[in-house]
Amino acid sequence: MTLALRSLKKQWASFLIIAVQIAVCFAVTAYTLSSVFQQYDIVLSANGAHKGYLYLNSDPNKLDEILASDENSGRPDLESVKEEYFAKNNITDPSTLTEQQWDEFYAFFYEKDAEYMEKAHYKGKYLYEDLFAALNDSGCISEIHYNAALGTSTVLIDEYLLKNVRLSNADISPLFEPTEDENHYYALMYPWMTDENAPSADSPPYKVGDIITERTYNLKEHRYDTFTIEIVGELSDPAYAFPMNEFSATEAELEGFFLSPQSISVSGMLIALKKDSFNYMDYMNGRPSYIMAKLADGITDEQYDKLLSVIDECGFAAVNLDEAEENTIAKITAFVSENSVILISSLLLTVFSVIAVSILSGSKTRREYAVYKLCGMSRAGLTRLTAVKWLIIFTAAVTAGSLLAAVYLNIIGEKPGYLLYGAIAAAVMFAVLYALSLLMSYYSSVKSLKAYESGEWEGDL
Amino acid sequence: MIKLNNICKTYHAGGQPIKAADGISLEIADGEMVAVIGASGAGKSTVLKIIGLTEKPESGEYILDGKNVTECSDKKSALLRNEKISFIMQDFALINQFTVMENAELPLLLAKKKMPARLRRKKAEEALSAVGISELKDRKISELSGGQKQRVAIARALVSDADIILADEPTGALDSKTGAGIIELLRSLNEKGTTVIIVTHDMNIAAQCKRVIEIKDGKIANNA
Repeated sequence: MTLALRSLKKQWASFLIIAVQIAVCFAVTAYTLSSVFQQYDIVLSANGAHKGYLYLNSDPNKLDEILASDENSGRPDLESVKEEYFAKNNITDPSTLTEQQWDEFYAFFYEKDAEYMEKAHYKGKYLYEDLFAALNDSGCISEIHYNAALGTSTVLIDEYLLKNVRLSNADISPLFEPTEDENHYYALMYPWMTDENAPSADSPPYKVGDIITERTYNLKEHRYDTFTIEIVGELSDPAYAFPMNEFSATEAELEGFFLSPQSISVSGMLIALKKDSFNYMDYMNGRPSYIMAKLADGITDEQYDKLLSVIDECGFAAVNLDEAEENTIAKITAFVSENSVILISSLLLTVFSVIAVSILSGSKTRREYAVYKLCGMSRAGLTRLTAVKWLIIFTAAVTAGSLLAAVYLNIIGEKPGYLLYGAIAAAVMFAVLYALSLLMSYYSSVKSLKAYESGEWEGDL
Repeated sequence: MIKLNNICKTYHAGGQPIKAADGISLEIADGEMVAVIGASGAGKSTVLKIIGLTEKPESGEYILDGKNVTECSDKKSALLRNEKISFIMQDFALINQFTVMENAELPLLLAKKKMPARLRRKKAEEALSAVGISELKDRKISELSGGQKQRVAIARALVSDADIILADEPTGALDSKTGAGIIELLRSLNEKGTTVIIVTHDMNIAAQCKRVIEIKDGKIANNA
């Protein structure tokens, strides 16, 4: 050990260079592997709950087409309503409007918007009933779940969906167990609250037991209502659920739909119980935002195609989560394939670095080892010396590389949860490289001794 | 006592066998100072390597202090080299990136019986003092002259209390005055009982030894 440390100390610059090279390569390898593990772990474990589910969206484009085919025009936009309002009230300079006048304008705008929405939602209710019937007729529905955004940060669900919306193994907090004997609506609350009730950056986050108020727009009465919600539980991290921004995905957007960890993984998801009693479907004017349908077992292709046809006619976009799984696998494979180039490159770089250093330090090492041998070191001793030297270099490099990867993950804001697995896998790979470098170094060092023993004594020790 | 009986060793160069040792038999008593002379390629260095246990003969017998060491293991050979034999080479056989002190204490660092660092340094300092270079102990080898380097090699031999010093052209890289100083040092070690075997081309050096062995074509041509 003393000799190994002394040898390293005397040639610290060259060994530092190789250690840094190995550290960087290790960091890249560990990070890449951890990313791959993360993809597989999150997405594949989530996929397990998808079998037989169909995910339906009310496609805004299609709904517009359907509405436009009737007597309805498109939804009024703010600017055109402004022009109409200003002309009607002889307003030439909007900057002179008082706050009260602006309130009056917005009341006018919301009234026009409400007229459109009422028609749209009447149509939506009609379409929904068609769709519901079609799903039943196709014999491929065991449950239909409807839910919609309540406010901007919660999603109302019923007990069944609460149990099934979780796409993987996220557990419901033991503080809360959904009841089955009452028709309660629960809310899945995202931790990033964006409405006026949201805690500020300085206030503590909501926790189980908190009773909060939530404002949402009443689509039937065209006004904002306030609800009382009690936070009754939480999903353990990471919870997986459909991202809210997928609610209004179009058919084109759903084509190639896949489940990425970024979109389905949610941290700190809260479960809230809606305290006020109300008929949700009535409140939402019968207009679902999205539906998850459980397909009947053994549904035929013909039935499935027919169902899709009806879904299309009703202005919905749908994705079969079995197909989404295929898309997901394809995405992961592509990801792994792309990253394998980095992975293989980093490993090759490490191998070449080790080879280069072995060659460059070969003459120094040969001379050094020959002197050790003359002074009484056995071949086993030379092997041990080499092993200890490279073990120190690799250990230092692997430690530094792990820290480097952790720091990098921290900088880019990713959780280093999978880094440990990546680091372990990378360490196994680097252990093989260590053995390889050991062999090379040993071969390089004993080469001169063999040459020495074969008569090349003169002038070349 | 070194005793070689009918030692044979063949090398292959360019596909041709070269008999470096062809039935060499000799005896060197403890405390002798022997010069081994001969033309290049005669086989004198081969004899030195076999005596130094860095090479095994193909046939024959090597008896060291009454024990047959011809077929002893690499580990045993290394131990004998560490405890009994020291080498002084034409190119000094020192580690350039180490200091003078670190080179001198090397045999103690590799010894089977571990010695505390303080004692190691004390012994190394004594040895460096004995060869007159104690003031250079913290210098790197690359900063020394040829004569100083060879003194470090001799100090290394002193540190290990070697019974046998094998010197292969010890003055080959030195000027005549410096070389004479080195030979004088070896002579003084021999006078204290160390067996010294010097391989040399230089007949002046050979003349300073008590006995001269001439090797020619792998055989002993003269043993006087």
